[in-house]
Amino acid sequence: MLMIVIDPGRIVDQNWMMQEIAAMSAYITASPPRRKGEPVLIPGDPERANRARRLQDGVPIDDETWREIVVAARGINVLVEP
Amino acid sequence: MLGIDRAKRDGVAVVALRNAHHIGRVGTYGEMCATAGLLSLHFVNITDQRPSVAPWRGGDGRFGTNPVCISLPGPEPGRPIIADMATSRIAMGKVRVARNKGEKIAAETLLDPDGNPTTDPNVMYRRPRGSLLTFGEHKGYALAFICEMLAGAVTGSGTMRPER
Repeated sequence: MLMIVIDPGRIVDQNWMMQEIAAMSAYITASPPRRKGEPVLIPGDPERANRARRLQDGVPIDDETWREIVVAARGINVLVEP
Repeated sequence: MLGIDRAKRDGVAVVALRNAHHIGRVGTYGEMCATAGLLSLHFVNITDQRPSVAPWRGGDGRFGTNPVCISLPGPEPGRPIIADMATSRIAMGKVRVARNKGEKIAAETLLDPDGNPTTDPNVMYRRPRGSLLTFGEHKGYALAFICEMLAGAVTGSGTMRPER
């Protein structure tokens, strides 16, 4: 992985930038939804919604994946309920 | 994290990570940076696996799902802007889930080992292997290509070349 981390405070007034980000995000997400109940989101919102849902309801795992997890666990002597 | 501390001290930090295993969800590193008030760009490649993604115009896999992540502070605390995505049309995890559920993959997503379009996720689990297409045709391919070179060649970690 090549990672580049930038402190925007060295480029721009941080408060101005944060206000601009908030205002533009609000403008973008105010675009009328093409489908009822599906508002415009910002990048990162779907992951946060997923996380909240999974923290409440658990992580969905299909039967075959669970079977593979159980086999892998037994391979290193970890006991799991099938 | 080192990159966050250095960026706060110096304004910019460039971090090259090599010889790592699967580093998990890249978006998590982006969230850490954004939460610290910084912006970050992450370019990732994959090695030590069979290639899974075909180049634009190509008929077999030449690199991995090479994710890109760009993050910055969001409109409110706890809501950072995180664009975190594979450069393939779908991630390998989604192919695996479809295979395990016995479902088909959407058209224009997968190629069989001969480079022909298919909807059968099992082609990714055979030898020779099928391949995933990039998102956005040539545009996703260009991003995947850039990831391979930045994360594989520029970091010194190495690319997906089979000779490695």
